[in-house]
Amino acid sequence: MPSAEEIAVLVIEDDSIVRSWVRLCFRDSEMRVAGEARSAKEAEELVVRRRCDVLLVDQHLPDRLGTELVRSLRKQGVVLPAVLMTASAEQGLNETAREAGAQASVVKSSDPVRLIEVIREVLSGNGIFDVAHPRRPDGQATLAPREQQALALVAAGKTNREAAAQLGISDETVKTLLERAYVKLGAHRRAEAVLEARRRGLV
Amino acid sequence: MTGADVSRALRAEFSGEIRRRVDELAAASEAGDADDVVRRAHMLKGSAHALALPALVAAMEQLEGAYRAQPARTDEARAALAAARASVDASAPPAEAVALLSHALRTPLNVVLGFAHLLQQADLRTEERAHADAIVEAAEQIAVLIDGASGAPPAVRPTDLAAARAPAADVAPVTVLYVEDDPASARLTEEVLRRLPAVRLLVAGTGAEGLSLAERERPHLVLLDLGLPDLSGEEVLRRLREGPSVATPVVVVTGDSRPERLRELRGAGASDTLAKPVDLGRLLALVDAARPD
Repeated sequence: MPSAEEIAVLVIEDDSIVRSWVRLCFRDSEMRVAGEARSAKEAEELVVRRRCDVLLVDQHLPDRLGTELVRSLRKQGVVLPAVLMTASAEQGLNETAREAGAQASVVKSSDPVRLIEVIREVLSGNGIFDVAHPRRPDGQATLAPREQQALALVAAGKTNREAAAQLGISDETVKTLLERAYVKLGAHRRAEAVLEARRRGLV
Repeated sequence: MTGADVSRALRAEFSGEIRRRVDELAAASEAGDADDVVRRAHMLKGSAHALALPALVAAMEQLEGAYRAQPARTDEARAALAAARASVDASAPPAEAVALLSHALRTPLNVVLGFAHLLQQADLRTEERAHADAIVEAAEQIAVLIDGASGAPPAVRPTDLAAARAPAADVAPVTVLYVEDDPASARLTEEVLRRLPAVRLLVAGTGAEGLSLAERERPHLVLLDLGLPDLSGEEVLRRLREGPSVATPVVVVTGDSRPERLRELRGAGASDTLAKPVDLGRLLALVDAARPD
């Protein structure tokens, strides 16, 4: 159902299969892909160069979380509506997404209609958050921003040393931040912490 | 396109890619890298949603669950990986059939793309140039689809013929023997090599003819297609290496661009390989490099 107004969507997603899926989903709609970024870094560069109406953001980018990207874009004054995509339901993701300044969340599916509806909704000014994401339990300890950053880098496959270099802090500090994060998550090992943080929508 | 159509098209395009990702996931699990397993499983789950492969989504959830309980290659993790493989096998056409079909498609595709590239270089009106551009774009899409379905790594095809045109006119003449039974492919190569000065191209339609021309004409370079009517390409390669062409560079032109296959061919004596669809700029560079000093 083509309409008069074309909607340009910037797709920020590291999975080539999902990017192709989005392109095909838009084919018979008023939407088109204005550009594709495979990482948060590429997205930050592309968002200033390409004219677009809405951001479609994968939550688990290789270098950063989608919510962190949105947070940083908001700080830079980018007001384009943002839709966050996740591969599964993640506890507390809607709350984190709202705090970051996103307008919508959607769990990946094979349903193009759903995706297009969500994008249309946010462009009409409505927030629309996928009810599949369980609410963040009241009083659950949230990670401090630096703990979250360190854990997100580790979850993206970085070593402690690489994470330290990226955050501009010492290896030792990264270790401390991670240990604190493990305690808050009730995890003992790195992979366990990453999984738990992912389950809670923190990384 | 309905959601089912979209997912079906993507399954065809990415069947090789999904298979590769499941293999890589299994390798990560075997290597004991729990973080890597979790990351790959998570991404694959997202892909599986897009492809409408619920069994693969379930297998990835099972794997994530197993690693959450214990970040190691447990029986549960093994079972999840086996389920993932089974779901991929069930959803994709047999790899053999895909490989054969994509192999067969590469030769005609090479001709379409090659001549379209030549058209782009020709002196055309704006409108006709747009037509040529559209053909190139569509043919490149087909190439990407074939790469995806056959599990070959996507080839880089920067075919800037204008830039590859040789500048100097006083270069040493070079004789090139092209062993190729497909007349359209031979004509394409002829047209492309016409863009270089002082190239003598000999075309042999069979392996036997190729061997006798090699013996008589002593070319500086042999381009060898593998799908010949009489002898296998490997056989021709072996005999060239035994005969007078022992030191002549032999570039194998092949529709099978899987890295292991290309390695095999080099092991069998090929000096270089050109994957179809052929990067014409690279072809010109190879010919130029074969000129005698």
